[in-house]
Amino acid sequence: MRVVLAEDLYLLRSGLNRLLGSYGFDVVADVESGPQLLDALLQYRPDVAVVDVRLPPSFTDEGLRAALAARREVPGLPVLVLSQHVEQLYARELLADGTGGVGYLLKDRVFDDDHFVDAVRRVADGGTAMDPEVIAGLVTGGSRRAPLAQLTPREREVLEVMAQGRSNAAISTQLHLSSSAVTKYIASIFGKLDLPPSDDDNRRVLAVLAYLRGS
Amino acid sequence: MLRRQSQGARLGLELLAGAVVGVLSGALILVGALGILVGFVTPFVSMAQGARQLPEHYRRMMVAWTGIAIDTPYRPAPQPLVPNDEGRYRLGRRLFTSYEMAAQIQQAGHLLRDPATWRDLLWLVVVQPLATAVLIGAPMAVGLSGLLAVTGPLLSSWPWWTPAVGVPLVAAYLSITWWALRVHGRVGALLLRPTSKARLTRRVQELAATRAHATDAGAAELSRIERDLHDGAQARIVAVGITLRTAERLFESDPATAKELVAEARTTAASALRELRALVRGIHPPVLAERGLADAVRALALDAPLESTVHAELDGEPEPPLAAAVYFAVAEVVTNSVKHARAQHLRIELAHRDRVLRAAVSDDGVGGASPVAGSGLDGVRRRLATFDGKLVIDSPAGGPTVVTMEVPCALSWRKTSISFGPA
Repeated sequence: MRVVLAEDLYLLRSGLNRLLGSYGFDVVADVESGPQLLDALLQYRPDVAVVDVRLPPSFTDEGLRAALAARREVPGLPVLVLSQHVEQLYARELLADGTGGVGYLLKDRVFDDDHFVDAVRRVADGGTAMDPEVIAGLVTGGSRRAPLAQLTPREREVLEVMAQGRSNAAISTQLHLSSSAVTKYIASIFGKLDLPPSDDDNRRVLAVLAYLRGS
Repeated sequence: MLRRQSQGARLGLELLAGAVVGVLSGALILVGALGILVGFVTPFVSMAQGARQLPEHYRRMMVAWTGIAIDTPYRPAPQPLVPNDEGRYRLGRRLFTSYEMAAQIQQAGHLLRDPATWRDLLWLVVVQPLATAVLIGAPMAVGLSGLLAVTGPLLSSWPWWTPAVGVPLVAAYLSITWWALRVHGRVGALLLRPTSKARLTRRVQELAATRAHATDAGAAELSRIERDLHDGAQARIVAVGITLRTAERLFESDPATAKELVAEARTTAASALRELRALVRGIHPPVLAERGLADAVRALALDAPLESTVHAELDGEPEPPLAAAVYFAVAEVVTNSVKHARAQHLRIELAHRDRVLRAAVSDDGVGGASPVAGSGLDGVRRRLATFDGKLVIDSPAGGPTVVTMEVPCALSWRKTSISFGPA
């Protein structure tokens, strides 16, 4: 799997490079600025890009903007954005085109390499990987809406893990539930939120995220 | 056009009445000042204080009538007296046992030393009656005689041709009224506005106060950051080092424990990161650095546990220190709404017009917000004062609450926003 990596701090860049390499990813380019990232994305068309939000030369959200610009050129280009802080504002922008293949995680998540690599693969496959903090914010922010308030605490837990983009199997491992219980909870959540049921994992997650964003 | 003339005539009448009251109250101050010579302080204080109402009324009316703004020139009231260890009050070199006595003398000294008191007096007894007589009284007399001449042949036995003289007189009077009123205001302003020295003195006082607050707040903030780092992230990173060192020693003899220790070190590192992140948000929110004020406020609204709308239209970005001050001010007001207002909905507006950056936060909550000393809103007021900013709170009991912050500033370079739709 071919990866473009954008991170301006050398230590982090080489650490990520090594980590991805050890899991069998092929890092085709590692860049350290916004313009370089955009060039690399358009030139290599990687299977997935791992991008730091803040990059030189402006040290603003250069990485995010380059990633969004590349996705406008190459619709659905999978991008996993890493940041020292998560903002719902950025999550909305990443999810706005509704096509999936996006991830948005705190840099801390790299500490847990299994989870992190799983997230990279999910994004490369067109899925989503949203940081638990983003999802928690979305659920809290939306909890004034009546349908969300109707969810049982357990259903809310399932909803939060599902909205991060995890598969049924991952949900059942994380919450110690049987896979049939997970299926049941999800059906009930979709019923309460009045969302069309879907067998496709990815479409399911996007529907839930769109719902939580209130659009 | 004619409406304005007749309004001018009506306001002239008001000034005429004011002239009489003004001369009387000016005379009272002089009597009160004479009273001081024989030891009566209280009459002077109350008269001089009371006589300020008339010039104050004139200042308010002039700006309402003609748009001529005359700022209030009075010095701020003296600091309240505090008793010393023996329960006595010091005033200069004298000690008083009675608070009332000391306060009255302090107040009298304050009024006597304020040049505005004497400028007011000069205006009340000399300038104002003269200006009113010349600019208002005399034209009015001309106008009235014109009116007499117009109605003369009808009401009494004046010759038939007198209206021909009367009409131009009335017209002349009406055409002059508005102009006379404005001249009156300009002449009044010469004495009633603060002298340039008074203006500078007040400005210096303001700057000294806001600078003292800014440096205090800066120092307090730095020591809080130092403490947070020292007790938080720094301590945790020390713990990571120790744990890793222990793990290193155990790798051969007890690999299972060593593995546990490494995992523990990782968890501790993660919590150090979490603490640093929270600390950084408090110093300078990353989204403000990355996106600028408008998007930072949008991000703030998205994080607020309330239904919120943001209308932010800025053609550029204020200087970073000011952007941070406004951001934290808005954040504090939002926190206030969330905590105390029991609101359902929050609306934040951000706009820059006429070189003033204006942020308004309104909620539909229970109202009653006030900037009592030491409160969050008081902190906002002080924070903005450093930038010559103002905080206005409109929060009647029962709501709704509108908190408006205004800071004079220019906007510089533009930060691109890729937000869409209301937050």
